[in-house]
Amino acid sequence: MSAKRWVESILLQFPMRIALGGVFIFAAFTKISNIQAFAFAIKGFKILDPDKHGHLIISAAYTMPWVEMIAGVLLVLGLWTRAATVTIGLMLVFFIAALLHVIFDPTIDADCSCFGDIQFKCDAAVGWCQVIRDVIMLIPVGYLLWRGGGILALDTLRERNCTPKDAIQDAKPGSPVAEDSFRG
Amino acid sequence: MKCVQTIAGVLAIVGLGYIAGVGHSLVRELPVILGASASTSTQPVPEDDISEVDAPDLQPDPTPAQVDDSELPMGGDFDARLDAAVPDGMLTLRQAHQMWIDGAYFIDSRLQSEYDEGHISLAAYLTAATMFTDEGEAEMQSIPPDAQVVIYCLGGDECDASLNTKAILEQFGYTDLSIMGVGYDEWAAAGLPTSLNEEEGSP
Repeated sequence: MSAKRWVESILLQFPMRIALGGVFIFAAFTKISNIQAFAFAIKGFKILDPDKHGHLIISAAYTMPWVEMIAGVLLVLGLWTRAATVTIGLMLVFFIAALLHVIFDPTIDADCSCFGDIQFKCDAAVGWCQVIRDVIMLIPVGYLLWRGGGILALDTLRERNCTPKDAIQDAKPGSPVAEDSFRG
Repeated sequence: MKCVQTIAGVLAIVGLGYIAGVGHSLVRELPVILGASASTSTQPVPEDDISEVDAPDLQPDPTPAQVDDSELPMGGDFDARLDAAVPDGMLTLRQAHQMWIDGAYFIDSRLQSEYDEGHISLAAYLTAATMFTDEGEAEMQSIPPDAQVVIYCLGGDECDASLNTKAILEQFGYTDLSIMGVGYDEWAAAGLPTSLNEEEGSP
């Protein structure tokens, strides 16, 4: 492994994974600790009619924070890094769309509740600040999708132990493993 | 191949999140509720209805910040403010003020920053977001479940916060809950007692 890849991992990929994953773990924790308030927050966005689709709002209130938590933990560990990054990216895109829906509909007056009742850099009321914050978080998402989790990720360790190339090197000539690897 | 693995991974994460959410819902003591949505229909309330407002059995002592009706500005404009139209089932400003005089507990369910900038005198700060925190539990312990409670926020059709707070308080056994149909701004604009001091908030 080249020194350049080590430098990139230590200076870019590892800090990005920790920061992005940490933000999502924190956001998930604040929501999990008060699911009721998060359900009210989803209702306040008025994307779904609570009279007709209340069950979906409650399902989302229980599921979304746990998806955030699992994706955040996987990203910090560097395990399933691309899948976790895509999940976080999709959630950010969804959050941005929901925020724009509130911003452009003057009849909706919703609180973000992005980090529970804690204001992280922005006011509680939905506004452009939250949109900009989410767009900024898409930058490391894009980078990690492009470059992967880096050397300091469990994925690297896993791939090193499991790649066909290594399997070929480890396997004796003529063994089934080597044959399968050559066939692709 | 990598793309398929990534998609499978995303689905696995969402699936695990769903399973964890289901498990969470099974171990949670109180069910998650959505309560009612704010109604946009407004009906002026006749003055006679004020007589239906009963004095609470258990009253805090609001005398330090209390103002006598005689000190309030009088006139047609003032009366119009007090009887301004409110959504169905909510209190007019006049009714809410009468309950404040009678010693009802007031709960502010707006944002913390809005509460800090000014709130109805003696109003406690309690929202769906703070209700399960130590501060929220302390505020709830200071309000007896059978006390008369008035909840307010921004008023009108932007008053989901009051409805949400009311729905949770009902879960905790509070029985005499009302919502002020107009918001804090209307209360303050009418010259009714307000406070900036957060410490004064708890009745």
